[in-house]
This record gives sequence, C-alpha cells and structure tokens, in this order.
Amino acid sequence: MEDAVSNSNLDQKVRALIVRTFELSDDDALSELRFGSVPGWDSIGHVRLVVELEEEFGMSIPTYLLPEILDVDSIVRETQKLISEK
Amino acid sequence: MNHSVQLKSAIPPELVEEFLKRLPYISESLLEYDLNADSHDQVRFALRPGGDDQAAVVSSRIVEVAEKLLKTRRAPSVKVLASHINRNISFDADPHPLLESMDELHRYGAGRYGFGPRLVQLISLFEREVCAIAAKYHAPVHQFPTLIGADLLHQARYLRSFPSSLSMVSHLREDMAAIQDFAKVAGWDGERLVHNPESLHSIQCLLSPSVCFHYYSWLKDRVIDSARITAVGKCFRYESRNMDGLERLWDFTMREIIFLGASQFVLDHRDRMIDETVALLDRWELSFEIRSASDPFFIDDYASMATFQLAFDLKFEILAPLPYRRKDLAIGSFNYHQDFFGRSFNITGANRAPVHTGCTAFGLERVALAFLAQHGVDSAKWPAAVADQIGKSG
Repeated sequence: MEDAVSNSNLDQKVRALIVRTFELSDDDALSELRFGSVPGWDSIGHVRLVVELEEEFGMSIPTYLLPEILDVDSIVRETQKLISEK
Repeated sequence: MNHSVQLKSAIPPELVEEFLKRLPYISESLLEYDLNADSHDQVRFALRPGGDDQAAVVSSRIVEVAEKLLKTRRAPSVKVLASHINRNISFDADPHPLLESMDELHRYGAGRYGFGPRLVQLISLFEREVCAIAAKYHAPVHQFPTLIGADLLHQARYLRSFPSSLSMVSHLREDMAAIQDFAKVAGWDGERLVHNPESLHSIQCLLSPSVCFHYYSWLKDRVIDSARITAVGKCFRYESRNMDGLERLWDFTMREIIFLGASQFVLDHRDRMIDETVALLDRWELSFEIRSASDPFFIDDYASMATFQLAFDLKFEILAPLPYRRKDLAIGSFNYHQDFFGRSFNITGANRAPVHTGCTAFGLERVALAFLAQHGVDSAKWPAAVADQIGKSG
C-alpha cells in the first residue's frame, strides 16, 4: 500500500518534471508522455531529461538504463529502484 | 607558443582527440596549439602574425569548445563486440612514403590523393568482397550522384549537425557579364582561386558526405515494408588541419550496405553484417576490434548526442591498429538510425509507422591503409586470401 502511494506521488513528480523540461502545458501532464511523442523529447531531450531526473531525485542513472526509461511508467519504476538502492 | 588558457575542467582522456580535432575550427588566426599532457586542463596556443589581438577571443572559444564537449557528458559505456587484435603484426613502417616511392600514391593536396594500379586492385578486391556479402543478402546495386542537394541534407539535419565538414558546390551565375568577368580575372594566386564571389550562384548542391542519404530521399513519401541495397560513392568531409594522409581524407570512397524496415529487421541485419565483416577481416588477417562509438557532431549538444548514441547502441566502429602511428583507425561502421530517416523522409511501413534504417559503411581507402600498415606494401608477404586474388586480377 505504502509503495503504491509513493509510486503515485512519484508518478506526479515525474510528470511535472517532464512538463517542465519540455515546456509543455499543465494539461499535457495527464496525457501519455513518451519519448518521441512529446515535442522536444528526442535524443538530446532524453539526455536532458535524465540529467533533470538525477538532479530532482538526487540519484545517478547509469547510462545503460537510458534506453529503458522511455515513458512515465518505466521512469517511475527505475527511479523507485534507484532511490531505494541509495 | 606564447598564449595559454586554463580550462574549467580537465578533458577526460577518451575525449582528448575529439577536443583537439575541434580546435582548428576556432579561428583562422590560430596557428598551433597543444593540450598539456599531464592534467589536460590547459591549452597553449600561438596565433598567426598580426593575430595577437585575437588572443582573448580564441581563449574564450577554446573554453567554450571544452564546456560543450563536457556538458551533460556521462561516463562512457563502451561495448566491444569483437576483439581480434592479437595477430602477430611484424610490419610497423608508415606505408605512405613507401607507396609514393613505388608510384602507387600521389598527393594532390590536403585530403586529396591519387592511387596507382596496385592500390586500386586492393581497394577493388575489398569492395568485391563487400558486394558479395550484399548479394548474399539480396541487396541490389544502386548508384547515386556525387552532388547532393542542400534540400536533402537539410531534411537529414546534416547541415546543422556537421556544418564544419560541409563542402559546398557552386557555379557561375547565368550572366554574360559575370562569366566574362570571371574569365578575365580567374587564376591561381598560389593559395586560392582568384575570382569575384559575386559572380557565383547561390548554393543548391554540396559534395555528398555520405552514401545512404540519397537512398532515403529516393524512398521519400513511400510505404515500404523492407529494403536492402548496396552502393558505393565518393564522399567529402572537410576536416581542416586534421586531414592527414590516407587516415583522414577530404575526398574518399565509401561502400555501404543499407537496410530499412521494422526495428528488429534492421537490427538483425546489422548483426549479420557484423558477423560477415568479422569473417571478411579475418580472411584478410587484419587486426581489429569492433566497439561502440559516436559520431563527431559539431553541435552545442555534442555530449548529449554522443551519450544517446552510446546508450542506445546506435553505432559500432571497426577500429584497426596502425602500428606506425601506435593508434587505431576507424575503417568502417555499423549504424542504426532508429526511425530518424523514416520520419525525416516520411518513409513508412505497412503499419504506417516510420521505418527504421541502418547501414554498414566501409571507408575503402582506410581499409587499404590499415591493411598496408599491418601487412606492408610487398604483396609477396600479404595473406594468401588477398595476394592470390590480386595476382589473379593482374
């Protein structure tokens, strides 16, 4: 239950971060946010987002994980893991 | 060298070559430069006579290049797909002077060389081997122009990604007075063509920097499930003072095998090309390694692009040791572009999604150089797989 709650919280934070990074409108926060389908979330944007995630959550994302975190769900999942491993 | 500039951060060893390769583009005033060998955080430089007032600008640009190279840089995650570097290489001389003395190589200028019959045979043999691989995978032969439209390079986003390497093409304006004026003043002044720039037409074409762009443009707006082709072409990448013998030519020849379709189709083909290439290079008894790599983007976000390419395994290079230089030379690459060109040129699959593309590319002059650097210029000492074939072709 606790995990579900924190996941939900994390989901919101990740969405807010994506909206901020790619300068989307607040309405976009609830839409499907995914690499390639969000304006600006391209190759350069993806690395920029990873840097933002690292700063926001105080963690280091290994380079090999970059291809695994291409939408909100996967970002939340991997972020959760990385935070718990800190 | 009488100027120096302190960098804000040291250049990591794996980026030193890339950093130094960018410095010639800083300013025309820059005469020579070096990075301090120990800490990699200070550049000493000299300016051309009369250019000392440019020292502050040059210093700030050097710092800027370093910062952009390091911005969002992450620890490299280099993968090695094949490592065949333990061959016994007994030759370690520089083949260039030897080839010149044999009248097999003629230098016309920086990055421009002519080749004699033996060198041409060697290059042709390697090309035939690659064509045989292409035929095995039902990749028919195509031919593309050496000129490439600026519109096409714009669409491929090449103009913005690699501006420093572009070679523009122009011609005289269709204007009798401009043509007559050109004919009157045109000549060589020892450094450049003497002409009035106003007599030149605006630029519509460039010399092609790659082979595969033409094929993506050929398929523009088409729906296509999958395709495989091969083509060879002259390619042009201006590399300023980095041009060095056959290692880095301005005008070179590239043989590509190009494949497009669904993501898995492209990745499977790239894997097969890697296996075929390993077998080919083994037959040629070349020492080499296949490692992940990134392109030398000349953009502010170089580090991000490089990180992305490495993280997503988009590029692998064949690196062959040059014993005389004690360094490796990239002689070919295996590239996966995801759906970048499918989107750029609106090429879609039956499912209406943009197709994915990939290519295998060999720099033929570099292959020949690596071979000659490792086996020498005496064909009697070459591996049988090569010597026998060259002998047969005369």
